Amino acid sequence: MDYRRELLKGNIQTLVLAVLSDSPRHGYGIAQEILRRSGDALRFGEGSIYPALHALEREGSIVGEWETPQGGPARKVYRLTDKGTQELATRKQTWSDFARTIDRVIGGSPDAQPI
Amino acid sequence: MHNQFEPDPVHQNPRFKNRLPENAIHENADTSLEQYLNQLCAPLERDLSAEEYQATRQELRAHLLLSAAAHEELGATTEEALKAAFEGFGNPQQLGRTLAQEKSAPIRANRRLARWGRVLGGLAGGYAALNLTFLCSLLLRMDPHQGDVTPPILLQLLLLLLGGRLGWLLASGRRAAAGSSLAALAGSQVGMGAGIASVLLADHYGWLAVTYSINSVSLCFFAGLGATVGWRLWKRPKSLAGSILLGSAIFGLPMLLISLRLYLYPDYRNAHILSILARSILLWCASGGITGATMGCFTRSLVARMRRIKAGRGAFPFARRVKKEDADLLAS
Repeated sequence: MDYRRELLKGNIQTLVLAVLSDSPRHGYGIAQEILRRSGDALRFGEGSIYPALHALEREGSIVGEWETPQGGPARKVYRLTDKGTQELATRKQTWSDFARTIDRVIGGSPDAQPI
Repeated sequence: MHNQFEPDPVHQNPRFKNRLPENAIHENADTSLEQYLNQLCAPLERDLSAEEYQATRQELRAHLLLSAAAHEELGATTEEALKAAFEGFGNPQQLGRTLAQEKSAPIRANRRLARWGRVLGGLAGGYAALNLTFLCSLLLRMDPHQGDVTPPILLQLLLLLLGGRLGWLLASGRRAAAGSSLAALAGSQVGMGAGIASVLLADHYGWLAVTYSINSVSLCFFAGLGATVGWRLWKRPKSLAGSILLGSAIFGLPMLLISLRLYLYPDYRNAHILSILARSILLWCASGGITGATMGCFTRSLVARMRRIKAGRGAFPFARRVKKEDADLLAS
């Protein structure tokens, strides 16, 4: 099992929400922004953001609207909803709690205390 | 929100051939891009509607085109850029399966609900048929004090089966349960209304008229209330049982009280209280709950459909036909 891949797969929705919290973007833009923010570290199949996008849209965390820019193909631009903003805050909190807990166990950070 | 999809060679797919205009096909579409999209979207064909399929395909195509354009800007040829875009996007088969899993799960759940809808439609139809027969027999027997007005058990079963089948067919045809249950309820109300009118004519049965009027009004009111509750609960697909139970409780309780009140009349004094209770619960709670919940579900599906149409993501069957005829005319 590819550990990094599995870890990324489980958090792709959080990454999408975080990127959309700045500004509305289309799928390609979201993938590029994740790559840029991670300093090219989070390389994954760009297509894998679509199942995440559609799941988030279905649960109402984001909404997609079609836009047709001049001279380009129609693209679906997603933006965060109020529910999505709340969801992102919850996920951020969960992630930081989780990371801290894992650090405590494996001793990954200097401030980690044994349980 | 606009549904501004670019035309798509997916029209060549026989499934969509009759639903989308032929002249919308891209003449110079890139073969490799379309082949890639065909592989990617193949798992979606079965479950998604033509419109949803188109939208998803268009979204993925836009991504790939943007990605290819970025590679071209870095100096790659068109073919190289597309190849790089495909590689960056991922394995089309695997991705298609994941996407289908994500998008199809709620659709399959809806199909299961539609099956439930048919069952409920059937039950509602059976209930309406029984109700009508009961009222007809009441009409035929002008003096309700003489004996039981309940039809023979075999006739009841036959009517239940016939009504059930009719309800099932109606629900299948309309793709939802509410149409049949609404029809069933309307039918039963017409029957009940006729019963009331006839009893009112015989003025010395005035008390019976009042009883049936109360029952009829309660039936309408509480079925509506049950339906509203069912509708609200229907937001969660797993709440079918919950909505039926709640609809039953809301609908059945007043009917139970009415039955108990009837117990005070001399004709009912000889009957065992438990028998009246059992009959009330079975007849009113079960049938009312099912009808009410079904109505709620169906109304909800109808509203959802109307919203989809308003958002440009669907059309009434007749509108679709007209659109196709227009497209055929243009093509010819």
